[in-house]
Amino acid sequence: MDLFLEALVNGASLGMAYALAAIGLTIIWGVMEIINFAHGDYLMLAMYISFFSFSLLGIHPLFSIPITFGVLAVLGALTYLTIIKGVLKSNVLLSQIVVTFGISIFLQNGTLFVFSPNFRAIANIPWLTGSISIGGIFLPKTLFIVALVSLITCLALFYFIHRTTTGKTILAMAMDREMVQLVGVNADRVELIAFSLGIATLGIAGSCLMMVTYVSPRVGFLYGLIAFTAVALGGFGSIPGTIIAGVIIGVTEIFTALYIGPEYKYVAIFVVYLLILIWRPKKGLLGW
Amino acid sequence: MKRLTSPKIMLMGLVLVILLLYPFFLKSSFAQHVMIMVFMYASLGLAWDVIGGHANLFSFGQAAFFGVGAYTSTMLYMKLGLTPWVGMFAGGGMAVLLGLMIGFPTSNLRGHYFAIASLALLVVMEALFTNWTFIGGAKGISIPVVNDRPWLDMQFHQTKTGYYFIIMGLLLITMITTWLILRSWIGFYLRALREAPDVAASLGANNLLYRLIAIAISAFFTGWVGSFHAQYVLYLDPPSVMGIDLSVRIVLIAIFGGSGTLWGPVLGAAILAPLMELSRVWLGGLGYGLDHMLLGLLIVILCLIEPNGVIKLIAQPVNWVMNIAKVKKGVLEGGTP
Repeated sequence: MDLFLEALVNGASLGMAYALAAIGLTIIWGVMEIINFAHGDYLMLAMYISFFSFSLLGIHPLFSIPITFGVLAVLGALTYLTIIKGVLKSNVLLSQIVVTFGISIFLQNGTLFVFSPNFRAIANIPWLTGSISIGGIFLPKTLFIVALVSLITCLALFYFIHRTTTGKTILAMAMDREMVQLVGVNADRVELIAFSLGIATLGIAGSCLMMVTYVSPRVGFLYGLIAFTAVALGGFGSIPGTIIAGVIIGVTEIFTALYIGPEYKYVAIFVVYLLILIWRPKKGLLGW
Repeated sequence: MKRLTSPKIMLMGLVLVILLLYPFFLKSSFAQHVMIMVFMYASLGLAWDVIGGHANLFSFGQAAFFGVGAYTSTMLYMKLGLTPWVGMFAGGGMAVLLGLMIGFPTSNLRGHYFAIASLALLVVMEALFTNWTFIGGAKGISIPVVNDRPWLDMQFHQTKTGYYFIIMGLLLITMITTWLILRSWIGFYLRALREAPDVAASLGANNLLYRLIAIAISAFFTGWVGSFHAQYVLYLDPPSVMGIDLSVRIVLIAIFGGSGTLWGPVLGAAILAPLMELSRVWLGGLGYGLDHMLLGLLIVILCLIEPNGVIKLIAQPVNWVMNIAKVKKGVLEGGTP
């Protein structure tokens, strides 16, 4: 029973990090209805930034969050201005899918070229080694911090989207684009903010994931796919849905690894996803 | 009936003759390999376009059909000694079965939901094949080299000319079949369901039926080419025949050339396949990934210049030439259908 609870807590903590990685995708999707297939690759970039700030400059991964957040915000803004804006204007669905795949291939192989395909991980993170015990359930300190940071970020984003003017404009754009433009909102600017914010959240997620796992140029694809799954599972455009879905995915992953076998953990994630997709094909858990 | 002397027919005839003579003049194995890759990706792109371009289902799971085709013919060949010529049809058939198994549960999904579902299915398939020891698991399978009867075993070791003609034949059959199907009532139903699904359904078009037909056609030809690829490389493991990279390449080639047209995927393959092979050879030595980096950049640039694919870029000059040849305007506009 203890093992069961421990797996549940560990899975839920990991799931919070997945949820954080997926929230950016849900914001971007909500506002401009574009699937960013390069999402995971931006996350991979953030993980590299976090890794090298630790190994070269000695910055603790927790404190590299502002750096990764800032760098990714700028990267997101640049991507939007140079590529996404033009492709959105063309209004051809296929090219919108393909262009982000082009970005993904470029980033993935660019990092492969610069950093080599080696796996990199931060071994002993200062004052985060060992684990804590909550009522007899052990949780690694890193995973606890990751869950905490993710939770705070998710709440902050939720507050931003639902309580501030800019956030409400983003939400309104997702609901009725023409109407928002009709009342005089500069749609391009809102899209720029949403895209930049969506990519910047990956900065936080990247620093968090760097504390618990490794990075290589190929990890982007897998995390990207998990993020898509979380978004589709939770319902496109729904932040609470995405968080719940992220936790479901994390728990599924850990339970499968524990009770069936680690080689099947991704199979289980996608099977759960497909089942929910068949059950509620248009909405996911909480979509509208 | 078009006149046989029309410039379009003459141009196609000329290209065919050049392609038939190609392996006799360019004997180097690399030159032939590049063309084999062009034909292979053109067939795969065409097969993708049946569901991607005409039924609007952006399948990222094509590699699953490809892998199933490759594994089926190889297992039949190795365990039962069945010739790959029969194995190819069995491979295509197994891919159709898989396609139908995927098609039923995803019948309600559209657009991005289908795209992500197909991507997830591919990852599941790859993981299952990697852990299935009967078919070699992660180690993969090496097909034993047999020398005495090249045509029966579909193995050519002295020169690649045999492979060249086989895959060229497969491409021609794929092209003619998809062309005939897509200009028949099936194609019209598919495009009606693509443009206005609810209207078409209310007029009695069976969405599920035509979707399954499209998936079956696409799966068959993809699995078929997968069987050929197994014989060509003589080695298969899950990442190489079922990997996500293959799926992405297929989708990119079709869309890069121009989706929804007959010549688009062929054109995409004719441009991208040599580019991938050449950049791999030229830039591969400079370090990992540089060749694919340029590929990614090229795709982004093309999407910004002409989102409808290369075929729209060249349609204008081609039409101009055709007009000079005194042909009715717009013969090649986007190709048929």
